[in-house]
Amino acid sequence: MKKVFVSTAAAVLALTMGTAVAQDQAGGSSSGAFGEISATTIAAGAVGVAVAAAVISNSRGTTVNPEEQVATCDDGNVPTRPDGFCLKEEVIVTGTGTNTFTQLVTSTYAPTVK
Amino acid sequence: MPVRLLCMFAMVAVLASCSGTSRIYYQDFKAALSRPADANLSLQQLQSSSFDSLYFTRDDGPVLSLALAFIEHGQQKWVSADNAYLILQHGRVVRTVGFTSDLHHSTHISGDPLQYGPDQLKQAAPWLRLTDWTDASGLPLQSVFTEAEPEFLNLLEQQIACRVFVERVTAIDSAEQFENRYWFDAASGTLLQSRQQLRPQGPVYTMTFISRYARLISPAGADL
Repeated sequence: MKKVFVSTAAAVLALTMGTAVAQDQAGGSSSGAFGEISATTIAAGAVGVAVAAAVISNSRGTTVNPEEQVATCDDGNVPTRPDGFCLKEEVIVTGTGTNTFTQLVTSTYAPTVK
Repeated sequence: MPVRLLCMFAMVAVLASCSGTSRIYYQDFKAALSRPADANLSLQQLQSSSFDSLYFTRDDGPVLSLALAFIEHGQQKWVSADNAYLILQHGRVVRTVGFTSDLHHSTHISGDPLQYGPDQLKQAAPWLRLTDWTDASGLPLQSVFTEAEPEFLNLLEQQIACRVFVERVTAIDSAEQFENRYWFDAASGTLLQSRQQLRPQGPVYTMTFISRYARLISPAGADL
């Protein structure tokens, strides 16, 4: 009898508590939410200005060129001659023994893109 | 002759405005300058939902509805549609994830007077804690609570009488001050709404526990 009384009292207390203190329910996900935090941190006016800038930039019709490729000489430098050609200098050795002669020979060639 | 020229110009203008590019520009401007719609859940939606919702507003921005994803170690983790997280303990924002500048850590949360409820908030001692941010660390803040005049909250077409508490927060380093406000249901002491600024000159977040509100005003919702 005593057990019945105690269990009944506990059940009544639990029901009363459950009604008075309803618990918060977890289990939600982003799909159950509405609205983006990131959207609240960007001023609408700022977005408008950004869009306007993009529109103006686009309407100018300019395109971004691929990186310009530069023709260089064999030593990796750009030609310094006024005619745009590279200068090649070679020392030619002729003769043998004591009768050897050296001669500086210059020539030009077109630069190439590597 | 000028009339024909004018007509031709008008036709060209009309045709040009119908082009895809112009339409996209128009839609971009419209989307950029329009304010997102406020969240507005009905009592029925709240009652039938399997999880709690929280109304969240940043400054004067739109009302968002966050979903209660987890309750872990006494902390409630609310998620937004873009997967940003707002972590509350005793109703206070103790951490954020995915905000412009996140609150990473707050020390001495166990001493937060908010945990004692409205009956003991008035007698609470000043509470000091340090806060770590994305762009700052160890920012010391001290809070003192006082009770303000009672107010009514009016949501879901029903009023609830509330006890209102003001938290005066002082940044120890700069001596800057700001106020937070908390609305507790006068009958049950349940926190229903708060307006919190987390640091000096930071944004003001308004949070309304709309599911709790629904449970209080609707007997059917009490079993949720």
